[in-house]
Amino acid sequence: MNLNKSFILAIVLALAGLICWEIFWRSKPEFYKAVLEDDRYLWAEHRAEVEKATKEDIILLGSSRTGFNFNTHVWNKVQGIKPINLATNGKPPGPFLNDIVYNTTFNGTLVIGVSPLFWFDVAENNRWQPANQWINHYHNQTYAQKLGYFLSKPFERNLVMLTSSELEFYNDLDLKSLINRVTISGRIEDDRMLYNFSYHDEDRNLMMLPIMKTDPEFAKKITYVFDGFLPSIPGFEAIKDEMPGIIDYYKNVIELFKARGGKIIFIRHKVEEPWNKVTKRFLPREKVWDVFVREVNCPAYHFEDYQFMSKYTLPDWSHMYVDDAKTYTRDMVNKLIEDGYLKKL
Amino acid sequence: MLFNSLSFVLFLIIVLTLYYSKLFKWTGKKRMLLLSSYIFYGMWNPPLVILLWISTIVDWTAGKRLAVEDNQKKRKMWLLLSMFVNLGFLAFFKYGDFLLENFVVVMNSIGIDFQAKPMDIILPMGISFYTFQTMSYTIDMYKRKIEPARTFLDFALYVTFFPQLVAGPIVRAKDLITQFYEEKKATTNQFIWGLFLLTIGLFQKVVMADTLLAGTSDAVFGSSKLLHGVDAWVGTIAFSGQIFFDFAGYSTCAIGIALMLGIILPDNFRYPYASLGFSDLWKRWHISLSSWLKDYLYIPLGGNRHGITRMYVALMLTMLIGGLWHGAAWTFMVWGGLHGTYLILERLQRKYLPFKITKWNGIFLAFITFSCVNITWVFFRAREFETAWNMIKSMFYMQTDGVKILDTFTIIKVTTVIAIMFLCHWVMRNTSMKDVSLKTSPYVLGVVWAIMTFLIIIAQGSGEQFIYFQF
Repeated sequence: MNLNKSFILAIVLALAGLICWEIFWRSKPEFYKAVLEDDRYLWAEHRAEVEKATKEDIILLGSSRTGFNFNTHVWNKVQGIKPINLATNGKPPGPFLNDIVYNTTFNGTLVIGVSPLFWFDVAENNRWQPANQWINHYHNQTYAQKLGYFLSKPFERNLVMLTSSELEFYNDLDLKSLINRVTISGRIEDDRMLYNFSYHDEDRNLMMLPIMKTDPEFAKKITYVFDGFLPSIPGFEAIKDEMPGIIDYYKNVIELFKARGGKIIFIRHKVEEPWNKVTKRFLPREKVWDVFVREVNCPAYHFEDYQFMSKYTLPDWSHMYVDDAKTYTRDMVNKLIEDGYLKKL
Repeated sequence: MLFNSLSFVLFLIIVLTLYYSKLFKWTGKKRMLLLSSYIFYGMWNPPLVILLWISTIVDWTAGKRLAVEDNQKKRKMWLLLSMFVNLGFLAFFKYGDFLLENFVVVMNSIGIDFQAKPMDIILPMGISFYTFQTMSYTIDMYKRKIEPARTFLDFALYVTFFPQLVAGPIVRAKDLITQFYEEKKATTNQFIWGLFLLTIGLFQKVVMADTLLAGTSDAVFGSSKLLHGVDAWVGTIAFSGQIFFDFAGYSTCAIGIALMLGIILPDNFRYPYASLGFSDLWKRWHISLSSWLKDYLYIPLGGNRHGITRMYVALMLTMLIGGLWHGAAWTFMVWGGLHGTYLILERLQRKYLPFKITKWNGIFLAFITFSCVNITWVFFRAREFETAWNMIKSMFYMQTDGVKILDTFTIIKVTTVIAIMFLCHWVMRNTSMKDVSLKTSPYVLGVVWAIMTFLIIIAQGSGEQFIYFQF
């Protein structure tokens, strides 16, 4: 058995294959960039900053709208403080608020972006599970995991072929996603698979890919997914009875946070009409948002009330384009400073 | 530390560099291996290394006393001390919550209102493996089957040797400790073959188990609905493949890594899904556990020495305990009970309905065995009886009005993978990977190796834990 030959051949062929693979995906820069994955490890690094945060510090919580619409570098330029960005794409912010309130002594400012369908949800339901997994990961990560993450950084930063996501986007590049692109219709209703349409930096700012603006057909692939589930969202009747409990749940958590000197500001980011129509039907503003804001007694900004919040056109109906996000952040921070909720340093 | 992680790649490179450097003599190398093994384990949860130390010290002391003590009563006391400590750890860490839950149920059922908060005990990774391994040493010492380990270092390394520490193979003292007595160094061929086995093991875990099969079995067993028969079967065979590739993958990695150090570990799997009956299955699946259970449980319970009824009782008890070894839940007991029943039925068939296995009926028999094994996996995988029962109903009533959750491509993918796996097991059942590789052109082997490496890397495994770590 001549294993030397096999070994050398295996190394040469595997390397050649991987180089070709990398070159191929690099030839599609409109979709893929070599960046550190925005996963539980990167989130945990930012979460660790909360442990040494002071009263002056700001934490951003929210879902993808907060991730896309706020830019922490612009925020830093305007206010002089770079917020700790704990907003999470595809996850509700409720569990993260709990984590800050119950597991830390932080008493600075929380800016919470509210996506109503995610926020006004029965606490601790299935959608909270992935968020809780990230929180548990932060609290329980092993030394082996920390070392593994440290070692993976240079590879992720430099290799496009390592593009993948826990959200399992249709156009991810891990083997499982590539295989799952194959579909044979007929047996069950086809899933409308969501394409990844963003990239991010290591401060976890989400930035919309330019192709979302330059290629309307690509943007339509995203709205097609939203179109698949938005019509099935029920009316207010479906959640009416649970709403007082949901509001009470948050009220208790928020009061605990305020009692130790913390401040919370709520932001309702803009959505386009297809989203807004459904949100209004399921969670009418006067019966949910206005009641919630009154009950928790926190400053709150709704995009319908401010021209600077609603002036942008959202390519996918729900998130801002990267350039718009910068001016939006600037205007928002200035407004918060003007209203006395933030201090300019 | 997981084999399928970058931290392990770095760890292994450092260990191999130190092992083959001229920095240490053999004793120094063994010390380095011992320290590395503690680091390997401690990188997961450092305080739990203390359990390893306690097991090591207790069994080393017990073994030493058993070697010199002639008084039978005292010998028994030393054996009992070892078993008390090892089984005590298992009982507390693995079965503590399970025992408490069942105690509450019993109390409530006899009308005593008793409630208890779960203890939420951390399950030390691989505790069932290393406690069984170290216990085999004291039992063999008690039976005077083996010589005591020459030094504490040899014994500690036997208990803690990192390639097989957390998920086996469960190696007997006579097979491993003696290898530590003289300097070991892999030949170039052994080293490369070890690397090849490590690649195959990772391919089985990362590509076959995690990428191709885990999603389907998770979706099916995670569903609370009564499923369509096809979905239930496909989910079950997906798990059947997943658990094989996951566990056999770990064992193959362990054997490969040890071989790179010049240490030979025994096989743990021999193409089990081509087994002809259930006795054959247990000679091919998790061989190190089944032989442990046979030697230290089935035979002491009487084996086949005290008549047929006693043999069946021993067989059933062994399989029930084997089931419970896997996890603290009644579903695992049912899994063990089903295997016990299969083994009894097989013995009855051999006695009353004997037939000859030929090359023509062999594959059919293997397929029947594989199908029966699949039924047992339902209880192994389902976390609750309700899920298991729903699955069984779907599989056997072939619910046509059950909910369909799998798309056509997933069904084709899983059935193809499982069919290929079954046929490979059938073709390989009387041979070994080594024999096949000897007959294969080095170029073909190189291409296969390259493809596996390429797929492992592009799979981008997220460091999924091996299923057997929880046992």
